[in-house]
Amino acid sequence: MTCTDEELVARSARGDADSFNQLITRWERPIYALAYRVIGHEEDARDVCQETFLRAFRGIAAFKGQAKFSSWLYRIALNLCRDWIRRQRRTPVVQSPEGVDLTELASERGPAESVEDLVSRQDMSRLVARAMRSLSEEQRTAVVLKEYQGLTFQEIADLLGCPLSTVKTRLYQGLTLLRRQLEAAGIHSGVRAGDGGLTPVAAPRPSSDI
Amino acid sequence: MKQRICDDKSLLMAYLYGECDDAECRSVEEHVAACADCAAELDELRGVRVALREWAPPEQALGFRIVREADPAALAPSAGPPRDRRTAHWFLPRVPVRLPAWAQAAAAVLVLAAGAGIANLNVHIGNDGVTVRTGWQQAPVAQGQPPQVPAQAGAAPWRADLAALERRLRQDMPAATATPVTSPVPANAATDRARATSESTATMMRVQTLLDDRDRRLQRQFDRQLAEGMLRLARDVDSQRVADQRRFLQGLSQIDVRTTQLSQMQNYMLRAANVQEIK
Repeated sequence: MTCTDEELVARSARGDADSFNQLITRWERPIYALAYRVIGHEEDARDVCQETFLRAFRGIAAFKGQAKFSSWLYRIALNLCRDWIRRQRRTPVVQSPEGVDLTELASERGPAESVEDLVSRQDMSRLVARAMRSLSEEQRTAVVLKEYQGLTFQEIADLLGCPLSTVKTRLYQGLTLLRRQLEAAGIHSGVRAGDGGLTPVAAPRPSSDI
Repeated sequence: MKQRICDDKSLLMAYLYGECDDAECRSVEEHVAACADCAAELDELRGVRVALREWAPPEQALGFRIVREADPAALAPSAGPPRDRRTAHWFLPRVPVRLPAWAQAAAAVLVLAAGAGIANLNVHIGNDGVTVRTGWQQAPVAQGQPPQVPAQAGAAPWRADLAALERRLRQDMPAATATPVTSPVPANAATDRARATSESTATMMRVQTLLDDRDRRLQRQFDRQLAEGMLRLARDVDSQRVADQRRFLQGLSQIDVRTTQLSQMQNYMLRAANVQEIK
């Protein structure tokens, strides 16, 4: 029988390390994904993830269930991410082994090369990761929490301690900026309701063809 | 409502993520049916969301676990119910820890050394080419020359590497086994075995952490040394360039002085020749 988070938290608070290990197994991937997407470094995200659970374990007795366990974990992880970013004293950079630059990518694309080829060659995932770099920390955090962690606007507002409207504004600004970045790379993001995929724009053609 | 949706994107965002009530949904749908700009924007934002799905975090073997550090008090039969005080604990990946680079290199040396030791190989590179001879074959020793094979074998470089490896392992082992491995008096055999297993697991975890930490530390140290080396090299090259430039300029000025002297001498001789001619 699968225990709920609350049950495992209660047992962990009584010193049951096995119960806490079950919570770790349940939440380590989401926490790692959150840290990676916010700070953009694999190894450091791993450290943040580990430190998050270590702090959670140390503080589990003080956790009274006033929020969801996952929200509490997210808060710890985000604080650690913020500390990490402050330590770095620079805009967090998403790792991009091949240093993909969207404008270079767009300019180097020849007329004979379709965008589909470009996308398959350069890996869409890296393009998105790169585009995320252009967002501010607040915008990126809002996008990550909403898009990848699936939190509601209200949960994000509670987590970040800001008004609901601020969360929506940050998210809107973030998505708009991402759209521009992706379009600069030749990825047309217009999708009609019900469509499931991206629509790459056609390769550059002479203006007469447009 | 129209103006509100065009100017304030909150409702559009709520609609995009399905977080508005029925009345709000209807108003947004009616609006985008009439407003081409907002309809296009909604499509584009949906497209961005599709693109974002493509961004997956790298596959990382996580497997973190809380492992209680070996604690004699906790392992004692009278430990009883869970205690409030949590003793120190370790937080470790379950994944196999990658061997540090030095250990891998040492292992390679060990294998080669063992192979060479078993075969007692003697590799000689000279004018006559490469000669590989096993130790079981007696090497012909020229008259008047000292026997070289034993000396070479004694000074083989892998022996030094092996000795260094042994020293390193000896240094590391005490640290790795610093945690006292206690053997509490068993109340019954099954409990004792379980405790022993738990303790040895904790110890193994700790050794793995030490190796992992050491690996990271060495990597950082190497990176730092490399960066420092590069900086030093850049500084050396720069100072050498400045010194060369200074020497070159000094040489140029000396040539200039010499050229002036030669010119003066030539003028003097020309004047002397003219005087001679007039006379």
